[in-house]
Amino acid sequence: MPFEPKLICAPDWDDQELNEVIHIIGAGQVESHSQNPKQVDATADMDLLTDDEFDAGLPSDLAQLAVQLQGQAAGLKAAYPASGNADFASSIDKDAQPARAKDGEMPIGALPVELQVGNASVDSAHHWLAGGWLRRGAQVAAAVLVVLGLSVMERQPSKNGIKHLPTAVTTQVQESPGSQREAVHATIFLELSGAEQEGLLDLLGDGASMGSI
Amino acid sequence: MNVDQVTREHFPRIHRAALVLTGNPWDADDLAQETFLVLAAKSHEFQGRSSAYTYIYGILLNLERRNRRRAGMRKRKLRVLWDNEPREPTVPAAETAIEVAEWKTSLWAIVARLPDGQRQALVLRFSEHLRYDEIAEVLGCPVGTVKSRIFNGLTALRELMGNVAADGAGDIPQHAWEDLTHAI
Repeated sequence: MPFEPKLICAPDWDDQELNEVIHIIGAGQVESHSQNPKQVDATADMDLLTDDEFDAGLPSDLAQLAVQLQGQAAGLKAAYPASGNADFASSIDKDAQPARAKDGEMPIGALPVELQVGNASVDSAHHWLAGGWLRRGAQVAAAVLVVLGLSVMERQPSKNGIKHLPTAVTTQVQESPGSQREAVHATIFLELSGAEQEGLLDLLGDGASMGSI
Repeated sequence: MNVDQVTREHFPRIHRAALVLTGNPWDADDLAQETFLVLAAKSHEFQGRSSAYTYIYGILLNLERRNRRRAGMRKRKLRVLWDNEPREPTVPAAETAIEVAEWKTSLWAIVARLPDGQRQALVLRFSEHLRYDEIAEVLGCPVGTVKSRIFNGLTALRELMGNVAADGAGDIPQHAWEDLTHAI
């Protein structure tokens, strides 16, 4: 915040003591700026410098870092070139995408592989999409049922009609570590966002399919 | 805007930027493709006041920032889950090598630990070779701010390099563990 002097009374310019205070304050401001002269010099009037002037004005160690960054970026790009971009470009369904984004049901990250790589037609991608979302819907429904079942079991009254008070977590762990762990999983699952739940379900699905091979 | 043509023209450069940002080609594929799908959805909003590629870089950086934020949230949730699991001896996860070695041993891995503004400015300047006024257009800030971020980013990078060296060469840097959540 800039220093804004506020006069509370008319200064007496002949007051030697006041002049001394003003001098000290002024000196302090200058001193605080001069504590890091390099930064002030390097960042002063940046708008006025051309790109080349700014780059040339960097301290030698920073300029060396910049050169290293450029070299390493070029190496990465050479080692991992983009592939399939032409196919991907032709696979973008410009008309379908806004509709999907509008209904809010499909996160963009959950695109079918066919669309991502682009060898298959958009029709097959849509077919995959429909199947995938049905499958995910069933998985989410199953997970919600499990969670509901667990919560109903926890709240179920005993035979004498007295409802159990919520049990302390530590007690639950001692009595039934397995169900406690499942309850923790279910709770955390519900706390995840939609996209995160899908990712987790995908992983579980992958694991199941790998196990069945 | 002809999305097909723009995609064919700019996909490689966006993919390269995504690669430098994320550190692995698979995430880069996803991120670049997401970028152009968002472009396809929002192409009608592009009014031509800026270059097409600076507009696309803006989408890319927003998506990447969103992904990092989500990865951070996921990491916190998984930590809760992990803390509730019984402690058993574990072997290193297969996902440990999610970033490619070339990236992990490069300065870009340290750049990934910088604040968003500095990180993005460094990528756009030293990986994508954009002019400062173009970077300002992408980031929506004055040119002076871009230069300041570049200068401060390089300075912070130099300091982080010192810290990494002091921590021990060859160790997995902190960001690598953070980015493991991309795989989960």
